[in-house]
Amino acid sequence: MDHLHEILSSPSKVIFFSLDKDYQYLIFNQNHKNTMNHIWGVEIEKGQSMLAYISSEQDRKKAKSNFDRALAGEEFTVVEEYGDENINRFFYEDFYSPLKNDKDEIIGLTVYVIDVTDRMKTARKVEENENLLKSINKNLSEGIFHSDMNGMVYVNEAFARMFGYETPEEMYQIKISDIYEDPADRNTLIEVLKSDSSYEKREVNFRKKNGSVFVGLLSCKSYTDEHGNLYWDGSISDVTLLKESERKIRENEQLLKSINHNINDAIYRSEEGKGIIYVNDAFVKMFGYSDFNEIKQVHPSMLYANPKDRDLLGDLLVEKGLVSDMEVQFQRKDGSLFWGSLSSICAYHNDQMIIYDGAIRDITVQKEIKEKVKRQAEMKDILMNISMNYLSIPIEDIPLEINKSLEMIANFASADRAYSYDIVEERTSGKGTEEWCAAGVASLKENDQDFPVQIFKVISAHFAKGAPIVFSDTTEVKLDEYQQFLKRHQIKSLVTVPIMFDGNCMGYVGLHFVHDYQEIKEDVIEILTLFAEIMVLIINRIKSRKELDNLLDVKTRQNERLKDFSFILSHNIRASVANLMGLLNIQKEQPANSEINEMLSKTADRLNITLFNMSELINLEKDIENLTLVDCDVLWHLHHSIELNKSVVDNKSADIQIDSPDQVVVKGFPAFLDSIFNNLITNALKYGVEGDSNQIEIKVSMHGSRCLVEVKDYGLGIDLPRHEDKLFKLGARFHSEYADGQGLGLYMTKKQVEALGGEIAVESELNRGSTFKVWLNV
Amino acid sequence: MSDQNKILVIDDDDIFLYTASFAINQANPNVSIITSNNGEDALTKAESFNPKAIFVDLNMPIMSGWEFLDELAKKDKWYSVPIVIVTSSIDWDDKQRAKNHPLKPSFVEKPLSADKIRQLDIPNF
Repeated sequence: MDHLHEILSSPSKVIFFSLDKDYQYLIFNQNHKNTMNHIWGVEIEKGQSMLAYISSEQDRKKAKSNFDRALAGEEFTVVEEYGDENINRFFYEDFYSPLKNDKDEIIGLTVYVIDVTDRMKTARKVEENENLLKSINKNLSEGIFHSDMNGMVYVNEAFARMFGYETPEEMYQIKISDIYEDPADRNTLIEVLKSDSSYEKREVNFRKKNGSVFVGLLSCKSYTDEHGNLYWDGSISDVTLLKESERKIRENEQLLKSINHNINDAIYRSEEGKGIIYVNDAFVKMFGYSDFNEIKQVHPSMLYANPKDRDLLGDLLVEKGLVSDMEVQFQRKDGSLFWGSLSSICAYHNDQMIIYDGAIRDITVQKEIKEKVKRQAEMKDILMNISMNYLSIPIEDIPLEINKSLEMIANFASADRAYSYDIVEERTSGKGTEEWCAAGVASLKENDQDFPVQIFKVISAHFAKGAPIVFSDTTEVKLDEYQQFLKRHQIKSLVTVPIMFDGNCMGYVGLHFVHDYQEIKEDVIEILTLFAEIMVLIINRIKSRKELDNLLDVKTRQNERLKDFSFILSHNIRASVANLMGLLNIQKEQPANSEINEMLSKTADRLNITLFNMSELINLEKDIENLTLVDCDVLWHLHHSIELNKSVVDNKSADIQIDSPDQVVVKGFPAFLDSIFNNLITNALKYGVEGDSNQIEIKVSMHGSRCLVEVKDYGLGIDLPRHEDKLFKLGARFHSEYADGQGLGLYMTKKQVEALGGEIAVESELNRGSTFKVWLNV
Repeated sequence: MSDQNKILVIDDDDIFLYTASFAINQANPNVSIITSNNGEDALTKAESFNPKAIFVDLNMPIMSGWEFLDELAKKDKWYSVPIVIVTSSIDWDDKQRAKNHPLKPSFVEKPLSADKIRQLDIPNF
């Protein structure tokens, strides 16, 4: 009982009371008495029903229910909470048990109430922590472990999942070293921890339950508890996927690198406002830079030959979203230009930022080929044009046509001057050079007197082989005089192609570049060579045409002379015969007419003269055909002709003066010279010496390669405006007083002068006299 | 003899003029013949004598037969007068020129004879 009393009055937190079957107190301790007073405000007493003290019906019912369970023989425990959870919470553990007598009959019940607040609070905290841990475990993908020398003490669910186990508990059974791909790794890692006590994110290959291997990043810390036991806490994250991604990224990078290295297309990305943000190696190389950084330094528009192109392209991209295979001319770092085919797309990022992705293919070569094909076609057109034109035009238009051709060729070659030199033409007419000059470029045609003729030999020797002379840079010309000539005329580049026929150089065609140095391209040499071939045809055509013209000329003259001959024959002879017939008719009617005989004799004389003239004409014809020119002394022939007419000179008291250099030699035919001078002197004596006007002046003078002989008189003169055109024609007579003249003299004179390659002209005024001028070749 | 019976003959060959005059008078003794040996002289004579027919040679000095005809054609009165070109040989070019000439001259080949003159169909001849 002492012990019971002690319990009953103990100030500890134990409550004890005992009730009979009618819920009346059999016994209670002080704590219960205090508590009942505290809760219900009552002073309990033995023998009083406890239920009567509980004023809350709900509590009373609950108490009665528990009491009834104990009275029914059940022994049980109930934990009850009281008070505010946040401020002051109390937990009680109520032990209910039936109270039995010696006969084991239930006579009441006993209740112990122990204050378990502290214990409950601790338990609650543990539970809370466990829940947090559980939640962390559930939600964490990282595997967390706690282990000691013997094995896993704790792992979270993620850890178990990571290793392919159903539950953490399953893992506590296995050997820790088995979770490593190489079990030896564990000891290695423990050794590391011994010196460093922790490590972070160490890459370790682990083995799953099913034997497969994964890569985990292991972080671990070791510590020792108060008993000297070694523990490890750590985490593992499965980085297999990450590793895979990394590998893929690396592979892609490799691919990109390989693409960068191996593709020739320049690839770039640029961002509005930022400029270029990525280029590949090909881009760097294509634009001639050493690296991307260098490209970033320049304004993107500088990459275009025409900086405006960039803006145009930008506008087009914004409008259309993409461009493909657009031909754009770009600029390299060194300023040189190249053609690229550009494809680009424009993308929007976040509705604002504009990104341009593009690829550029260097199409310089394609362009060049295209250009070459174009130039070939152009060249073909020009050559067709040229060769067709020459077929259809008259000879006299050829120089003009050559000029046109030169212009076409110069334009094709972007040359400033084009020329052709034709040796054959030069020899025959003193011409032979045709030239075309661009606007503002001086002509060299009449302006090349300073050409160093001594180098002709070298050039001719070169041309004799049929090879062109090409200088893209004339400062490379070796011959000093030639180089100085080219420099004086600012010829920077030149190309000259010989005109070859039958292995002989007939001339050459060439181009000059004055404004800029020009790389002489193959096609330029080719077009010149082809033009030179056309020139051969042209020159030959001119040559054969000239020969033909000459022949025609000879034949025409011959024909004219034949016509003249037949005129004499038909007119003069027939006229005489007609007269004979007429006279004979009269004689028949008037046999005694004495006039008739006189007239018959006159007619016979005239017929005789006509026949003589005919033989003269026949001789002239023969002479002209077989003419051999020799050196003739003009003065000697003049004196000879005067001598022949001595009797007339004396008769008419004519005064003949000769004004001449001491010695004049011409190319001539002695008989012709005699005839020419004789005729002019005879005419002067016949028509020029009249009364007071007895002067005949002969003047001989030299004019370059020609000699001029003038025979001047002050006699009758000729009405030139009226008669000029028929003056030298056969049968032309101007003085009716001298009707016996048959109009042969001047005609013969003209033919003879022309046969000697000379010319004859007359100046005359009626009643003032005449001057006949004869030009002869020296 | 009235003016109506004058015939003008033009040639620089005196012998032809002589034989021509003889032949014309053989054909018609009632005409008087005026001769001239160049075109310029003939123009003056034509103006003063108003011949009823003109015979002209083409090949003459100073003024040729054609030049003479061109001058003559400037006056209407000569359009009704028969013009006869007398030539030693009839040239095709001359024949063409005669066809196109306003005076429409006819051609006779030398020598001139009475028969040829009669065939010329000169009015009132």
